[in-house]
Amino acid sequence: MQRNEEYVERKFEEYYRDNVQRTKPPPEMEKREYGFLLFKEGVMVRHRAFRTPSDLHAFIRTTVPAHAYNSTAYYLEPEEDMDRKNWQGADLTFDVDADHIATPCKYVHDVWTCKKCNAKGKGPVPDRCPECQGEKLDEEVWLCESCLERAKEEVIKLVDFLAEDFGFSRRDITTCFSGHRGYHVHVRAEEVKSLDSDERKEIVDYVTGLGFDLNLHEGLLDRKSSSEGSYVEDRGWRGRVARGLYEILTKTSEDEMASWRIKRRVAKTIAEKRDEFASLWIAEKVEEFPEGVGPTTWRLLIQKAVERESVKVDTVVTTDTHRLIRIPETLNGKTGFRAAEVSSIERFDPFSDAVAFKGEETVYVKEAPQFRVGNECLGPYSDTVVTIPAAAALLLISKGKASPRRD
Amino acid sequence: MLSKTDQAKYPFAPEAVEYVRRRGLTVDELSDPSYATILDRAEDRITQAITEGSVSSEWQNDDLEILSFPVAVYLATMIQDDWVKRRFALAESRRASQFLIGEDIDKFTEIASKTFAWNIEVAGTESSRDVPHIGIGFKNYIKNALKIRDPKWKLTNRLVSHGLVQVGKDEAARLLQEEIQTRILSRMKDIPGEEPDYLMNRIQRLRRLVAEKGTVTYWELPKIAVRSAMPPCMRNLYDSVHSGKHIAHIGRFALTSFLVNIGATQEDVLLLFKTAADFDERKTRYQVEHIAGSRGARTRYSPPKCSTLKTHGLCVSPDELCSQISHPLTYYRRRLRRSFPRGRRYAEE
Repeated sequence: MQRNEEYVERKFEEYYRDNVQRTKPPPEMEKREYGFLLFKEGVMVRHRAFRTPSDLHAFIRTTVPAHAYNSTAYYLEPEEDMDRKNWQGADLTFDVDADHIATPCKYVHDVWTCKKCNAKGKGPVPDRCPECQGEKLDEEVWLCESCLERAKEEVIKLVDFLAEDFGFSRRDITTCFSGHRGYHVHVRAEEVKSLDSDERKEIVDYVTGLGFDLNLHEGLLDRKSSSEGSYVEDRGWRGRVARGLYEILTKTSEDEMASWRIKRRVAKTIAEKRDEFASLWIAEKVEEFPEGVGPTTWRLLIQKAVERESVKVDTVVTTDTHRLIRIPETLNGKTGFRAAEVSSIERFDPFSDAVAFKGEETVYVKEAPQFRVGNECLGPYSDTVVTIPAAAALLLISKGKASPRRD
Repeated sequence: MLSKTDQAKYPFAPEAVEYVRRRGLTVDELSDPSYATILDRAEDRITQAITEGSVSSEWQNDDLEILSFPVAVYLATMIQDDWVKRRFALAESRRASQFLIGEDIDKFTEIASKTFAWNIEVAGTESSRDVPHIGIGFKNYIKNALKIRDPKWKLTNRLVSHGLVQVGKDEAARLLQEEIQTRILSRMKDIPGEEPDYLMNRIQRLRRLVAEKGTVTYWELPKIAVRSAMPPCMRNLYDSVHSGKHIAHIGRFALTSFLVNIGATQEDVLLLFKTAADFDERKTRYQVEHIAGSRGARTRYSPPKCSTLKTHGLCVSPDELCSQISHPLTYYRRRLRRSFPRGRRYAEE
């Protein structure tokens, strides 16, 4: 393990020697606090400040941190203790991470280990070890293509909320890959700076759909034609729910609907006449609903639509006005990937666009699932020596799944 | 521009403040008997606020209304009682809100945008309705709606589009009321100087009135933390930590701040966390001391309120009592009061 870390550090050092100027300090960089997690003993260096990009670059080049962060906040005295920094405002920041999304593939690639009895299992960490009832469990997560795809979908939904509902200019919204399992979305606009934690909480509750009360969304279930056009064209949550319903009604199988506690008979009716029910939401508004589906079922379906359209974010990150967040274009010590700034989320491919290391390496792999780097599909590996792209080798070594081959 | 009558309706507006300034009215001059009517009206405003929670919207003349307002602010501040300040700000904001509802839409938006720098737009009418909809900048909306406790004010339950939150005129007036209240309260922050002699009688009279109105009584919490009186969220966190489970930072913060506020000592809290999987004594001690206020900013942190606990997914299996409260400490106090109905009471200073 020690050797692994030294290897990664050496690689990072090489990278920063030639590429440190890619590091992108945030706007008004002199008002930010910077923090670094060092390879050595996991020491955290905080409360640093830099006036110019080259000061920051010089620090990173000589220190070679495993992780580099800047504050989302602006301070008058960023180097002071927390109480004396003199907070001036903060960006509005969102963290979309596979940790917060229930993806089925976690049962394939995420592993937990019981610290007490060494039992292992796959998927999200359970509360207790099923073997010995122990409650101290370690988890090992993998960054996988479909988890990151899901995270991307969340980012797309989030940006839509920010631009369409909150009216932020797309120029003020920046998205960065975290270098691991998700994305960071930064809103940098004058009007968000002074928002306090409670106000940010309202925004995060809005995008996560928390507290959504159907009875307060006039015209959804009561079908009062309160506005022109079809439901899916409506603005705000009402339109989102309608679009979600349309998707659900056209695509969900009878069995899946039944698993949502919808009566089998009703689920069957919906499945048989799915086009008719779905078209309700794209056609001009009508006063009456066709028979066969009662209000209880509609409520359940609307709840599902809210879940589908809401964004899964780490609520703590957005409401914390003193948060440290990864500096764009620095390396992530958990993977060796770059926290790349994303220009088009739809086209962004983390497994090639965030690759920092070129060339090939020969490594010993203990155990690794199938994965991809660039255009190359790799693995699964078990107890073998392989020559693979350097970025892949670094990923496996950072994750403790491989070690550099002894020369 | 606000007319003189407008200024009488909205005496907190900059135009009214400017008018008073140009009149050159000073605290010393007020002792002159010719100003007695202004002092009477000022005292009257506070009396109504204390007894009725609102200030009547009738008036004799514009001048009296404009001039008596800053005097009332001064007088209410002199009483040096936070409840009076809040009550006065509330009552005055209600008075203004009543006037606002009666204004036509142009005057209404003028006051919102000029006096309070609101981002406000009048949208067209929505088909079957005749009432125009008003769009309020989300920031102005959130700041004020947050102070009103009702799911209908939650942003999630609003039509939000292109940065504007859609509301009706009466709702916009309700939100402005919160804004006005905040503005009036901010004018009452300064610690007043000596009580001028000529105001002594009035101050005494108002203080007596407050005393008659009844003092709010509070329970003194027992000196030890009673687990059975904790709300479900805190009991869940407590039990998780107790059984050595890992809980997220925000959960640790919520539990620690809750415990130090219900009488647990820092040592008690440390002892509890000792069972945690990732216990680090130095780090935990530092955090607990910070939250308890014996280090750093030296203020004791309050635990997060219910809505914050919900946002972070810490609100679990809420019970009957949860639906009546909005803060875990309130739950704890009420539960205790039910369990120990004859505990000691004391009057808040």
